[in-house]
Amino acid sequence: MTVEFPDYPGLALSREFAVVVSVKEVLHNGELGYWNDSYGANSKIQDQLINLGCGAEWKWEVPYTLNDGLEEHTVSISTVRRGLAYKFLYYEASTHEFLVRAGKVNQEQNGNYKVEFVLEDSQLGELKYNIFFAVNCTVAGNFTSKFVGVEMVPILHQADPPLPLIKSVSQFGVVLVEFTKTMLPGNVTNVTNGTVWINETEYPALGVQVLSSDLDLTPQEALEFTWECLNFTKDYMIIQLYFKTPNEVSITVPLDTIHLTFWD
Amino acid sequence: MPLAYNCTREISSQVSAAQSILPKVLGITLALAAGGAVLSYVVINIILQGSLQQLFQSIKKLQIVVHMSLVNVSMPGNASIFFSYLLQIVAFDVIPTDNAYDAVFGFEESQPVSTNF
Repeated sequence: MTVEFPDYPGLALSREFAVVVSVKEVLHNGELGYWNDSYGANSKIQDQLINLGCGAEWKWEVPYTLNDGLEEHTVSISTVRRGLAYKFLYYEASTHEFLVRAGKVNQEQNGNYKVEFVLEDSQLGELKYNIFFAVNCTVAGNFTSKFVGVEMVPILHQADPPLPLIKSVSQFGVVLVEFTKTMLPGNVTNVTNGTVWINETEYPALGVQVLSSDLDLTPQEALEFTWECLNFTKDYMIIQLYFKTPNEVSITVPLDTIHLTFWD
Repeated sequence: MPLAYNCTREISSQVSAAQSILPKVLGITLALAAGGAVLSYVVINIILQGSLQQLFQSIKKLQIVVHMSLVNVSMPGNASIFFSYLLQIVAFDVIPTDNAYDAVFGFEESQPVSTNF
């Protein structure tokens, strides 16, 4: 039995907190087990409001069943996001059980947080569960946590991840990005304005740069622009560039270039 | 997706929305006129049992002009817009066949020869 924690940064925005839970089940005969996909309806945490004071604990039974003949199984968790909630929420896991522990909340940490657990089979599973909690720190030292929802989504196998490819850039600044494999559709607002924390550094969810090919003829200031994500589906993403002076773009050969950096 | 994955592409010449109106109107007008002329020429010549030689000669000349964007020189965005409409006529792309080709032959899409094109 092995437990793997895939590198899965940037699931949430700057004030969010994410935990990845990854389980591989090994049967007696060497075959791999699978998750029970009836989780959503029978969850014991459905619509549960959790009140936690400082030092309190909250347990959650891992809601899945295993095949007969299972040799052993382990559930473990690993934090992948160090947001503000990281300072006062502690997570532990053992077989069949999550443990959420509340620490001391400082005054400046008051606010609303979104906590996301990702529960996935690291090998043969076809679904993973994104479990969302809204955490509201009302006064220093206390907060409430409410289960928001759960969704089952296809697993993106990290061994062969989808890659973005800039398909075209129109004369009107419309950038079409296609994915080599299906992606999890995202919120366009999060793509445009979202940030991610990686190694204590904040990055934009999507970095967009337009670089001049000849700084003598086209200084970088002439390529000033803003952008927004117009659409983000499982197959493609559309980004609209708004150049301040579109006539200055790509006036020489080689042409100016656009660089997209996917931090999330 | 790998962390901090980077992808790059050249940007073709840009135009503002206002600047694109004239080439659009001209391109659509000329494409419609050329399409109509080709169609009527074909019909009349079939009826009169004439030759289509003149038609093909004129389309060949037009093809050379439109494919000038393959030459690696900077082309203004409004010229690209104008040529994109004419291209549908000279490439006989009046009936879209891309999906049919993909289904029958299974071609793999490659990068364009020129960003302008």
